[in-house]
Amino acid sequence: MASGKEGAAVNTLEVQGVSVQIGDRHLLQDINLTLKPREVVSVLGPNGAGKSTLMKVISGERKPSSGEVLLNGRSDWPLNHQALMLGVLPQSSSLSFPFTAEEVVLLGRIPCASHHDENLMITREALNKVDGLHLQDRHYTTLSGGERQRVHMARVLAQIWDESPYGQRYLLLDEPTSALDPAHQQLTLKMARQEADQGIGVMVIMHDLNLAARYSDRIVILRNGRIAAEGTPHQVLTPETIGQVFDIEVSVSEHPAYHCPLVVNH
Amino acid sequence: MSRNHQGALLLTALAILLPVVVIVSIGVGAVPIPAGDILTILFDRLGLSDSTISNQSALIIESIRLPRTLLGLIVGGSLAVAGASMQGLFRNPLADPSIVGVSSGAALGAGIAIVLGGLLFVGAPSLVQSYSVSILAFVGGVLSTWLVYKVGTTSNGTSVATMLLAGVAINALAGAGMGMLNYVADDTMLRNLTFWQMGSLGGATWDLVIICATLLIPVVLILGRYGLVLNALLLGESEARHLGIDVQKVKLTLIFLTALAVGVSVSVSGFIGFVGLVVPHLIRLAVGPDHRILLPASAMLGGILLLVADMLSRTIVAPAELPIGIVTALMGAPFFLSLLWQQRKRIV
Repeated sequence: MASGKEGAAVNTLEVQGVSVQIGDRHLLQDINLTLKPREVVSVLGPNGAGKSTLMKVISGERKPSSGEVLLNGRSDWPLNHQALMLGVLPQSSSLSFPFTAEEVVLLGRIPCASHHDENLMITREALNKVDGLHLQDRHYTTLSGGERQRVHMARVLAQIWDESPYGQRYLLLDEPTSALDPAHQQLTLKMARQEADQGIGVMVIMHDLNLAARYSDRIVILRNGRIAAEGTPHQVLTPETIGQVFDIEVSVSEHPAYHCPLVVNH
Repeated sequence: MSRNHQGALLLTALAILLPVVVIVSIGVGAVPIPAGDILTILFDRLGLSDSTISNQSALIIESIRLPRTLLGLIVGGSLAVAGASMQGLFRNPLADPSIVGVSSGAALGAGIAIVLGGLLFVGAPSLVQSYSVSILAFVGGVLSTWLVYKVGTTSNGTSVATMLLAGVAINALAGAGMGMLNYVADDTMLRNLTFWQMGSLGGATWDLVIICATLLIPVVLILGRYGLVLNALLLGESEARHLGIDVQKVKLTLIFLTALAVGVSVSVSGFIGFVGLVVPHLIRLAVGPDHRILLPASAMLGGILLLVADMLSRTIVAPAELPIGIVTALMGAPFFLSLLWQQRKRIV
């Protein structure tokens, strides 16, 4: 076991032997996972497989029954330091106060010690990345579900915009495409890919096997709180694995335009 | 114009309006005092000039109008800031200290002191006896908040819905307690109780002003520093945590400070409702929900609004006085209903 304390050299987000148990129900059992900078890891799995629980454990929102999560080698970062390294996009957010979209994205800059003008600039660039610059003066409460999701995406991007003095940065996205139209689904994942190419480690929970196939370096499939499969899209997305985990029949061929598998439902 | 500029403009406007309302409030009453005289007397007392104004006016200002006005200013500002903080904490623009049970808990405490104080405080030092209403009102406010918080909190954090429902239960319990007190009270006590349940700034003395100022001004100033934190909390508790905020600690602090602000306010001026609901809402309508503007603006507008309500209460049925709680309820309750009406349409 790596000793967690002298973390300067450790540049990963590491889940070590994490289990979560409520009563006699095992939500997660002995999960081991490593997320490195520059890679996109997708987490797939049927409903109730433990995907969101895993995300909550990694973000520190939920304490695991056993095991630990090491962020750049440490499990005990002060919250305000962690916020500079780890951006988390939850599945849905309730915000019932009439902030403008720009103000919502600006909230992402709270942990950062930068000047207001710089924050505004970053806010606009982040909104631009999610194709939301035209929303900046709209009231959040009047936005559609997909527009809200993109605004929150921009907020999380703005949060970890600057390089952190404490270590590498990571992005956790819990179903970031669930409310989006196909064009914006592609856009969001392309952007996640770009963030990874710039040195950020990205973990995405999603349900669309083909989106995962096209944009991920690695895919992790959860089932009943355990890791059922892990590897490159080609290794994991096979008819056998998909059949076992999701209980559906599929054919897998090579994508005609990209070097990735293409899953077709029967 | 950006909201930042609007906010700065609003704060400036309120800062100009505030002293004007203070002067008017000191001038209005059975014996009207012109603004010029007021300024001369105030400057004289500060040692800035020599006064030639009649002793009578000076006496009225010094012993009646000035303490009353200052008390209204502090209480109004505290109630409004407490309301704004609660709404941010509960992420609900309709939340109000009176909903969480702080106000009614404090009211029950005061009621106990009025009716049973003679029995409870036998042999206590005279200082304690004379402030028994204030002390028990404060204790009642803190106790009920603590109870609501305990009921609403599990190891996973505070459930806002449970906490609000617990507040409903505490309100009912305190109401029953007040009813029982009404039943056993004699005529004098009953008059006191009624007067106190309706709220008034009429009991203002310099002692009360000093107690209020030393307790409430620091509370309001500390709450004022929670602007960014409250903004983050509006996103949700986990989101605020992801932004690096120690949510559990912040919640406890906010609950304690709000209970203190409301408990002390209620103890000196009785049950004055709706200030904490109406004032923040008006400001949000004007400049949006940013707490960095909302908190200081609420402090000033709350003071202004309560002074206006107090002037109405002194003049509508002069020379008698209408309890200020009735005035704020007459202004606030229809406002509350219209808010509910809008919410209803939005939900459907």
